[in-house]
Amino acid sequence: MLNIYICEDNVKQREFVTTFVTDYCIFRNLDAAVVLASSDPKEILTHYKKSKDPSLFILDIDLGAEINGIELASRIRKQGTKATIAFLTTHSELALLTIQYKVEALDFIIKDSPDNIKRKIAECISTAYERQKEISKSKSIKITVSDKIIHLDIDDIIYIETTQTRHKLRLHTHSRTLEFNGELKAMEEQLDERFVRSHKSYVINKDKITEINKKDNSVTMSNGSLCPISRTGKKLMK
Amino acid sequence: MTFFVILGAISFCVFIAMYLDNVLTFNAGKQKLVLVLFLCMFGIIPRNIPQLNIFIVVCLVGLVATIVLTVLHKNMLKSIISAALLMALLFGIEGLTLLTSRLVTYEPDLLLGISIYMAVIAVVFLLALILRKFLEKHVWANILNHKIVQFLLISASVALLLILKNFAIEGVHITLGQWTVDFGDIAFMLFFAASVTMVVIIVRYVSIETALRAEMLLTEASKKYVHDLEESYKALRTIKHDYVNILTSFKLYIDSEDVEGLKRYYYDELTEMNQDLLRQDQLIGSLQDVRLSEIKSILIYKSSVAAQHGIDIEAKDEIDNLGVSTAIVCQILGILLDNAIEAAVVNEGDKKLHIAIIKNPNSKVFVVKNSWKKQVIPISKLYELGFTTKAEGQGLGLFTVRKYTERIKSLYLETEMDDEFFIQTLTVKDD
Repeated sequence: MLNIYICEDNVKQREFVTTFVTDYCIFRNLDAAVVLASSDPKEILTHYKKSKDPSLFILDIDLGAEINGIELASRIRKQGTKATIAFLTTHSELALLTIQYKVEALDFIIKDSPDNIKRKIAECISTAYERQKEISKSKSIKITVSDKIIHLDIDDIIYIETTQTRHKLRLHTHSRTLEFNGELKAMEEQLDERFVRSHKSYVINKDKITEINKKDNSVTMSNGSLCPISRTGKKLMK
Repeated sequence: MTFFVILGAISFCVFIAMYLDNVLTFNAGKQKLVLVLFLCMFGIIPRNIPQLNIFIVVCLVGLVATIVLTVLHKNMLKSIISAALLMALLFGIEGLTLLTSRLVTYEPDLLLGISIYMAVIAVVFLLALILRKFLEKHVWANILNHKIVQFLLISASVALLLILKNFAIEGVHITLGQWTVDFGDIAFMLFFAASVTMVVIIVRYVSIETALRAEMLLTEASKKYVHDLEESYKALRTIKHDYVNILTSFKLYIDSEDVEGLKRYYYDELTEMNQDLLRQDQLIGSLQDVRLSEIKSILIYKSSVAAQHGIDIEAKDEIDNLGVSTAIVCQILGILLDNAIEAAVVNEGDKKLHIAIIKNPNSKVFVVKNSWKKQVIPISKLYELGFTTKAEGQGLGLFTVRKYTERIKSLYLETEMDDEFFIQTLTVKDD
């Protein structure tokens, strides 16, 4: 089940959002429900600490409490990965990209017309719902890029390669490429049996191979990249 | 047997091809002439005086060559290296000559020996030259870079030596008191050492070549960066100039106490102009906490280009120093922004460009997010040399960025795309 938390200090708006979310979940027959709607960020945090189920947070940025929505979001992030966070906000001139970077916000719902809010909330719920289904199925790994921790679904990883810089790796998914510090060997251990060390400098996901090129000892991956295969790698692939 | 001889001979030619420059390392014609002279003399001497031992002759030639070269060039080390290479060359050629002589005839003949010697020199050098040209043109970097090829070259050279030893040079001994040293053994060792050196030289050559190429590309990119910087200063000057103009006009109205005229000027003419200026102003204002002037000016310039399409810069944190050279970060930002602006402009729907500059405890982060017309391109392809989605252009930008992030430890680039947006996140770790 997907737990939905709402944190909003304005009573009227809180009720509006809560009613809509509840109705939407029932109407769509989703396995999701509002578990807590509150104006107190601490209450939200305490409740979430206990459950830690896949959750969607709809947070007002300006809470009128000692911590604001963004601070709350980053504390939620520290608890774990299974949270999806969307913000409610009146001002659009806030540094949204910065917030998105810092807490990996799903979306920003600008409080303009009720219809717009409803549409945006509906989008967020379905995204979070889909995401939760996937999360429960698969494992994710944690990657640190300097100060930022990124959680990646293992299923999405196509391959990991080394760079010319020691301890610096580059990871590829369909929609993302990122560089980070790590050791290929350690990465391989964190991943599952689908991943093989196909080459001194490559760990590839066997499920993502679309073509084997025997001539030049390489494989084509599902994103179109060519990965070389060494002799030892060839044996491991069988 | 024939196969091995050919293989060995070819690898020997490749070897000479590598060394051609080093043997004839001195640019001046005089020194080069001396070396060639030595080469020719060597062909005649041992045949004229049959009692002389080849090994001793070669050593003598090496010694004389070293002295002559040092006198001529005054560079001892270079001369010794040249002479040593010359000796290796002589051994190789002598071996080939002897082998050919044995194959042609069993009767030792002075004239025939010399002509075979000359022919071998000519053939070896000719082949070496052709090979070198061929390698430089086509497969130079690729093939010789391959470990297997290098291994083959060494083994082939060794094979040649073994064959020479067994079939040609057998019985050529140096007797020093009670010790008898087989010429083949020495030649073998020398040649082996030479082959190893050869590999080292190949590797070095290739890496220098690659570095040069990368250097060239970077120079190209820096030129563009400098140009951008100039443009950005120009843009700043224009803004200043505009303000001064407006103020001057104000002064004129005030001096003539023409309040009506001032009103008209302010409301009618200025409003339009103001729009642009205000936008520029806002951009500059939003960057006030960026203390690095190069970064600031590149951001101002690039965003003023995109200003009419709607741009959003978030720079709330104070950015005063970076873990790597500012020039490199500027160059990368310039490329990312160029691409972002171009992609956003091409997009038919919303043209959006967001930039965020964020300070973390241990790093600074630059996020460039732009709307784009989604294309099905593998991200990894974007970074290849020459890949471009632009009609014209060289596809140099992201290739350059990749060059930097490959080599610089504290730079991390993340590329992300979805249906609506294309996001580049550059993390610069602090020292």
